Amino acid sequence: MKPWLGMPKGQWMRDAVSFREWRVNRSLYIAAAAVMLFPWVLMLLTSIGGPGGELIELRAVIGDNAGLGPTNGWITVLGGLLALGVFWNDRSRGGLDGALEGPVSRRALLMAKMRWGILTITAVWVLLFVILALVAVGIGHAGFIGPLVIAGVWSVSSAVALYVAAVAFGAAMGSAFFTALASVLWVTLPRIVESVAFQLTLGSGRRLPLATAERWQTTLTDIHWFSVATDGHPAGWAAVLYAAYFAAWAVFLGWRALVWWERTPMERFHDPFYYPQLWNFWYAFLAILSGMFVAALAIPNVGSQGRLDIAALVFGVPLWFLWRWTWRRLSRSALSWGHQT
Amino acid sequence: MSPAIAMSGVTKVYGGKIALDHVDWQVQAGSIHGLIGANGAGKTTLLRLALGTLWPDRGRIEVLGQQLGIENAALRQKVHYVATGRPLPVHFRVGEWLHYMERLYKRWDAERAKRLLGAMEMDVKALIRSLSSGQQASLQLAGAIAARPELLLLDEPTNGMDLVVKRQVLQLMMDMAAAEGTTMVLATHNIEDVERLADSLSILYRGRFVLDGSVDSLKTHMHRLQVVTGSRWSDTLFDNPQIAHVENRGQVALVTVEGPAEPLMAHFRAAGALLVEPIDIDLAEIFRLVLEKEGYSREAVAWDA
Repeated sequence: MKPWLGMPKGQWMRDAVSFREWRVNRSLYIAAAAVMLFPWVLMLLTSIGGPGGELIELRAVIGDNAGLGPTNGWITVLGGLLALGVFWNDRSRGGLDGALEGPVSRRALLMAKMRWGILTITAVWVLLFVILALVAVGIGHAGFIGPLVIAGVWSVSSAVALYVAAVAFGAAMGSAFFTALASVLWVTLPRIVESVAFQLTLGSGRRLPLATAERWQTTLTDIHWFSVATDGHPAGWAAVLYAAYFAAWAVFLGWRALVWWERTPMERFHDPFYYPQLWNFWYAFLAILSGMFVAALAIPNVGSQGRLDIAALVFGVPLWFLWRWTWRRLSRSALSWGHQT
Repeated sequence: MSPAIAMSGVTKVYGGKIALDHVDWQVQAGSIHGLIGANGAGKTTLLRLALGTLWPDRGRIEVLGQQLGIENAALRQKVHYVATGRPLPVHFRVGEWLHYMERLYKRWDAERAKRLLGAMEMDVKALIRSLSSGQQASLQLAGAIAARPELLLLDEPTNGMDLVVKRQVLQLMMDMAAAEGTTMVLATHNIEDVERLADSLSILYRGRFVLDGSVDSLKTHMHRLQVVTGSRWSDTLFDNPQIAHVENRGQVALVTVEGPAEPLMAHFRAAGALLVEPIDIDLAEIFRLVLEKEGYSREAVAWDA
């Protein structure tokens, strides 16, 4: 076909669904990439431009990045936010419902979101590690490249896992709030488990045999690393193992996302949960929060975190029923969460 | 020839509220079918079920000879849906939207799209959100025509259009139906459009069909008689099950009759009528009468239609 006036620059993009996804969400993909890169570039520029001792600072930056740090977790969280953004931008401004009325399968539409998101995250990390590797060579520390590559694999897989998780939750919920909440829970759950386990054992002042305590401490650290957005990362080949674990999560959640997305009736697209049973998790979340609050109020001198958790659980069970009853009453009367197609 | 749409026993429920109740419906291939119903009758639900984006709770739907399932994207290469207020990607430019549509539809006629937009004086560089609602509706219709579907589902397609554009668009649709044998279903409140375009029509009321047939057969099924008399009417004169409605205007009565008119004409003449003559009855009146029989108030029908 002859090009004509107004033909977009993305003409090279032959696949309609990919073109649509890029056109609808390109500003989010570009902005996310820029925000992900910004702190790293700033850090490098600060080190290079510093007054004297640049080499030491650069070494520190590269060395830290080979071990990564909080910046890694932040970038992973940004990946999750990107997934939320692309879904809700499409629902509000992109005409998602209208697109599905054309010859576009739901699978193709979701796959396009996954492709562009994973491409963005991977491109950011590849660019970042190329820069870091070049700098490492430039300051005469080519030995950092190996740890950087391992850290890169771990970082990409954790960021992709959270991105895909957020897409999956977005494919099962019609509310940005509930999707964000589910993603945050998924990110923090290993840390919560670690914290509770620590409080119940080592933190409660119990005396464990030294060897057992050490092994248990290592296990707790391992649990901590199961979170995709954790600070730091396991060293060496352990990092690669965790990367494989996150990749497996991404594959599993991606598959579930497709299943949830393809089986949801269109009239439920604006409901908080596509599957009514998921409301039970929301009641459970409210029950845990309020249970902890009530337990803290009811038993001021509870003594230990472990006891507080148990008390929260005791209060939480009746609270689950209470929240369920209250929420259903609210829904029946005035609370409206969305509209039907 | 197999029907373009065949539904049997289709039921759709939204949160406990029945939108369609055991509907059986057929639209013949190559025909223009009018779908009329008051607000909330279930017209949009019916069209979206035929499009395959909504799934029935019960029943079976075949479109263009293919039974619908959960994913019907491939079929929508041949079935196109246009609705007022349908979500468009509002921050696309017109040219970008056309680019997308061209990549999407295998039978896309780019020359036709260009010609249509030229006729509508649409700027391809304009952002869709900057277009008026009428222009957006026109853009959707242009897309529908350029996609060359076998089945075109139109849900209030000319809402918000000015009269000139509306006539152009309706003419274009008729031309397409004539040239390519496209089957069209036109769901609308505008009964005049149905009267002008449709070969057949269905009237939907509270989730079920109350009338279904060809426009000609409906018109020959219902008649309106003007009856003039020199004296006062007898109360028993209109006591006849064939009489659907009587509008009494002093010595003149407008009587709407279901079924053959001749026996009633003879009945009125025998009762002393000075003049009994058939006058034209339009679809709007048929629509009102049918819904009135179903218990819908005449004022509400007039307002809805």
